[in-house]
Amino acid sequence: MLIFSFFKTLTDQVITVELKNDLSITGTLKSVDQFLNIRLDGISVEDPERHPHMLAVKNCFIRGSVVRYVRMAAKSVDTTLLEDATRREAKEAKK
Amino acid sequence: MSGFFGFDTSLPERGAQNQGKPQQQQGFSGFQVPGTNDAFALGGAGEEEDLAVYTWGESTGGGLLEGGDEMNDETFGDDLGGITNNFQFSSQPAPQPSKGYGQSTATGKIASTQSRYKPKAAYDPFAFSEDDFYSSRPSKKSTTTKAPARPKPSTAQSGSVENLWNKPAVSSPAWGTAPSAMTRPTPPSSASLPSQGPPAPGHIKSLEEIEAEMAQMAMPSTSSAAPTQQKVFSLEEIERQMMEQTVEPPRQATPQQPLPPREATPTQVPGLAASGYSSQQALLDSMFPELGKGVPASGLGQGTPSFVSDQTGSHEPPRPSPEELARMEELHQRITAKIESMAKYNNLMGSSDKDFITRIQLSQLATADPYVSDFYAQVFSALKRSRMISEGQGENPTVVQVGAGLGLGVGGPVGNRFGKMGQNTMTKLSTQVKKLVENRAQHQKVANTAALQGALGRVTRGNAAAPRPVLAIPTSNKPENRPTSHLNEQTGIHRAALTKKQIMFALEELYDAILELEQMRRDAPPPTAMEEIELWHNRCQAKVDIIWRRLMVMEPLDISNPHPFISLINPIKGQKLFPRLLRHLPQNQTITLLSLLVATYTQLDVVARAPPPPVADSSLLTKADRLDRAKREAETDNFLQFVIPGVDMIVNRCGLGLVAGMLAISAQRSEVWRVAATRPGIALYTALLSKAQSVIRTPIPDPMNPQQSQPVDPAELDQWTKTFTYFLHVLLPHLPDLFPSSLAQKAAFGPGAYLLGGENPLAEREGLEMEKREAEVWGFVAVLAVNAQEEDQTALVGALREKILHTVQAARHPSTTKERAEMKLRNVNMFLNGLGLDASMIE
Repeated sequence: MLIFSFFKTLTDQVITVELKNDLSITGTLKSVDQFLNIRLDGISVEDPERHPHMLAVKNCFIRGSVVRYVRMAAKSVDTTLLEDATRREAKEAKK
Repeated sequence: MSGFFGFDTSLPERGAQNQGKPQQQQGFSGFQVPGTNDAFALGGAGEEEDLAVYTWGESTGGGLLEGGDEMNDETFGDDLGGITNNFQFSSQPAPQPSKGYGQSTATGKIASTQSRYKPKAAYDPFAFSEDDFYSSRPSKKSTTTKAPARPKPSTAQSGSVENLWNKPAVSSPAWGTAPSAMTRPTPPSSASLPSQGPPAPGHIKSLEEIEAEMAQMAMPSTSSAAPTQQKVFSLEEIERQMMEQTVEPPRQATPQQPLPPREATPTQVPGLAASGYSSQQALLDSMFPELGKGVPASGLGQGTPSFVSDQTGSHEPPRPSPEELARMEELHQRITAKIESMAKYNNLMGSSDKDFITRIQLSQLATADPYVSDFYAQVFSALKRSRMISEGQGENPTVVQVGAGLGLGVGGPVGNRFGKMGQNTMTKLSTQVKKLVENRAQHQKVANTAALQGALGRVTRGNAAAPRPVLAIPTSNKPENRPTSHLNEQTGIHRAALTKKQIMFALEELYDAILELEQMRRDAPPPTAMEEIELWHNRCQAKVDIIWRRLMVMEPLDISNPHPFISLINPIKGQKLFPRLLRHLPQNQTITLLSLLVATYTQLDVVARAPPPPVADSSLLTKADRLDRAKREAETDNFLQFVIPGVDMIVNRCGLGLVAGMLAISAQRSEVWRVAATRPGIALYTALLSKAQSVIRTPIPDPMNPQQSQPVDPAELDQWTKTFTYFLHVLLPHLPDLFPSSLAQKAAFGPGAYLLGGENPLAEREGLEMEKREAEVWGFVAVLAVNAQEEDQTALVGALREKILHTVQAARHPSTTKERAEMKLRNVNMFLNGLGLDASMIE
């Protein structure tokens, strides 16, 4: 739940999702669910020459299992809080 | 005809009932109505109705099987004489593969292989019994055809089952030796008693003989109608018994019947579909007698036309007329069309399905305590909210909060996302979530008392969010890892310092305690509940005490080097914890803590292993060296970022006496110039000195801090003056060496010494950084100057004279960039202004 919780705080921010098929999509994160499925709005694709079929796509829903990386601005991450959340999660799991 | 085949013919109808029953009576009754077409065309139009139709389609498949059997009849012929003479299936016309039912198509093949390759059958018990199955057929057929005294008219409902019993009864006296013949006709019994007669290998050899025997015996058996009737009578009684215990499945009913023939039935392949099916039929008959009554009229019509015509031609009164058949055909087509049209939507979800899924998802996300599973988002949004409020912006939470203390995992800003849904929907959602949470809580309570608890680790229930670990070993009762207790086990004043592992364990425990405490503080009871607040305070206090103990501040000063507490704040992890600790500790404890810190300042990594002065060319360093430097720099930076503000805060709460005491401790216990040569040292002394100065200079009562309102105690002032004078005199000879640029120049060697301070564009950035660090020292000497007496000030200027002149000249040097020159002048002025001088006065 930690990562889901984390991604929720990124809603309405611009992130870049790199898929396992090397397609990188930049867009505004609209929603994320517990499977880390991602809905992006106003998307643009890195390297559009390679993926011309994506030119017309304006928003997309990405199945969580196909995501390789998500890139986000460093300032939108509270690392200390993330550490604490990890500790809590670990503690919950131990209980 | 009788038994087995009478049963078979009725199967299609039964099939119809069969599925009609699981659905609802309505669909079925609609089916029964003569104008069935209407029932199907108009009826219901709801989903259930559709479903019923669909299953009916399936059941026709069952009916097809029977159709195939009828073909068998045709195939094997009715005339007994033919059978006796010519029992070769291969020669017979193969059964029509009418509806593609596997068994019926396979029939001829197996039979033929059996007849041609006997040995093969010997290995293969399945084929063997199959063969038996089909071989027994004709003989049955003969018996059935011969016995027109069918009991069906008497008791229509129990007819089939009865006939079922009837059949073995007929055959048993005749073929007592032929086991295979019986297996088929008595499927329920054999299913119930599979172990009774395991197929003896001996049979297989004699199979052919048995077949022949069977064929011959067929005639006598048919003639023996009297015993059959007897049997029928007894079976009927049994049937009635079964009827009474309607719910019991037939396999239970069968053992009740002590029929010798059935018990004699030896072999049976349990997997055969027909046996299960017929037993099912028996069950159905027993359970729903009235259905059985109703069916035959319409049900018979459903049979395959060929069969019907055959039947009518042979002996049965012609029930379905051609029109009826046509109607049935039409109906069939309609149903098929409907099924096909519905099949379009087979993989689509209805709204109820979606609701169901949503509920499942919600129940996964919903939680009574949002901080448990949603800690990051909740705290993050709380922090953001507080930041926004402090910045004067409106409240705009990023995470949905459902009710007080009830969080819904669904993220996203409330504003637009749920704008469409509206507030009503959200409240509805929240009530639903509340219910879900309660349910889940109950469920988990039950699940926690797992039977295997402790047997193989802990049994945990997994869910999508937290998959079940393969093996969860309980760790909760693990003894607390106490470095101090480890220390206390050792005797003597001096003990070994904490190992890295111990430090990390201790830090994690501290973090856990802090997290718990912070959670506790968040869960503050409403201000109205007095006793609750009292309890809450006590709990918090207990937690603070635990944290205090774990900090090991109260351990003797010389217990180890470094002191356990210093060990704890040496790593960056511990440094980050420092400000959070201070927030919770009471003031006297923080002062104790600061005293300890000052006394053991030299043990700090950032002081003892301060980052060495920068070299002009980092390429001269080895990789390990570079990494080490980077690590030490990072530690120092973090220390200044996390610990020093806390130190400042504590110092600001201290009175002059305490500040003097701390300075004395520091001067006494450490070589102050060494400490002062590090950035943390400079920061500490600057904080102490400026605090002292502010106390001395502003004896005016500070309304914000009542503790400082009393005028400075002369004794304290005297003590301070003495301490400071001592401190200054110890420091004075080393004063120029405190500056990082001087240190760097001293440390430089070889070509680096010439490069340092050169006009290297890359060095410019480092130069600016150097100026910033110089500023820290200049600030320190400025505070020294402010605190110093007249004569000490002269000494101070004398000690720094070289440095001042050098800096001012460097600032005026044309090769120095404007930015850097300004910084240099500002630094010098920081000190000179404290003495009432200015850099511009230096020519």
